[in-house]
Amino acid sequence: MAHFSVDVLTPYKVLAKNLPADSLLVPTSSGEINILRDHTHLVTKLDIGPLTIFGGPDEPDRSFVVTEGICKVMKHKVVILTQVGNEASNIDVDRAMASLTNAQNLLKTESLSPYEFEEATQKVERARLRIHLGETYKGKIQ
Amino acid sequence: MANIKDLKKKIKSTKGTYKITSAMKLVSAAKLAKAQQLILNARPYAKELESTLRDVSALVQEYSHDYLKDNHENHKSALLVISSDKGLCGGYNSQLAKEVKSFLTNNPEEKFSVYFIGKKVKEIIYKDVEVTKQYSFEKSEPTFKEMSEVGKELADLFVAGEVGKIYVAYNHFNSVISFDSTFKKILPMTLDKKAAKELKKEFPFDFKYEPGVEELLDELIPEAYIEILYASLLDANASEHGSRMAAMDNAAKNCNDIIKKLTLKMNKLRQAAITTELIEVISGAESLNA
Repeated sequence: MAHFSVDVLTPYKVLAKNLPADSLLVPTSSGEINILRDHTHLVTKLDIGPLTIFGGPDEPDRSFVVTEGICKVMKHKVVILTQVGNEASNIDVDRAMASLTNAQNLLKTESLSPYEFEEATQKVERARLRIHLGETYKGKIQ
Repeated sequence: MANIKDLKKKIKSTKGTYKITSAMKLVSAAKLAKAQQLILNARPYAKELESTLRDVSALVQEYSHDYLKDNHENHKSALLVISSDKGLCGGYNSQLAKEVKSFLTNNPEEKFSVYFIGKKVKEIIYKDVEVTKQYSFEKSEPTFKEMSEVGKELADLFVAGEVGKIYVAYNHFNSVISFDSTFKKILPMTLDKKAAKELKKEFPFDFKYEPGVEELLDELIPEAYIEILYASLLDANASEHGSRMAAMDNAAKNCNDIIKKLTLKMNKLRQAAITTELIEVISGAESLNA
């Protein structure tokens, strides 16, 4: 039986609303944390990484890619607010590969400002994660 | 009384108007679809971010941020009115102008400086309010970056103590044919006393913050402030296109009705002229036979 609900929201899309969960693994700036029922009230900073929601015996598990944002944990609800997010099943691996190549080419140029360099590095990281999750998910359903 | 030539002219010009209003309706429908999708996707995120920030501002201890400081003694306020640059959108601007006027009248204890995005409401109420600034952008609809700059400029006034509160007035998108003129206090980002009391019942203890309350909230609060402002703009955009589409739909229907009425009138006049001519011909023929 699922014990709490999870919302995964981005400014561009509602990725999940009231998703029943047994537990979840969240990538935070201080490492990956596992959230179970009756977790203490918490507001934590997200990091780029895979977010996994375990539905328990009755509900399927769901995986997402999340970037910077926050995770708010309350008694019966967890809310993930992330700037960019994708569900693993919706990841287009070819597109992620193209995005990785673009970002890597961008990193090779010498005229990047520190901000642009940071942005390109994050793009590489996000693209790698999307490829990894996309391929893992494909492997699971084959 | 109008003759057939005049009626033909009127029908032609009404048909022209019909074509324009129908085209504008189609354009608005396309823009509305995009704007509606944007606001419906952004609203849950902005709403949750705002409620998180307001909850945290009521619960957090030993932390302060410039955007959370309630200054009751400062009676100067800024009001940002988001309207449209173009008209022909039904009651979209006039309703907001009316609400802005009554909002200013109902809060006489506060001295408002009014900022405008979109010139239509300003043109309606400029005689009754003190216009502080009119923002203009490259395109009629500001981008996220441009909106961030507007937000930053207003927030700087708040931080410097020149204003004690910042409000935003806009039309909140409900559905294609419905919107509400809304006033929202965006700074300081605090809850009123009653809501804070209720919240403390729900959360008797403060949240735990990781990595630390300062590191987390210093970054989050300005981001949430801009996100709330941008969501208001998206709401206003969707309401504008919805309102324009409905107004143009009504206008096209009215044009159609007028065209029908004028055509009927013209046909009656033409028939009357034919009948008169026939009577004249028949009477002439009869008088010759007599």
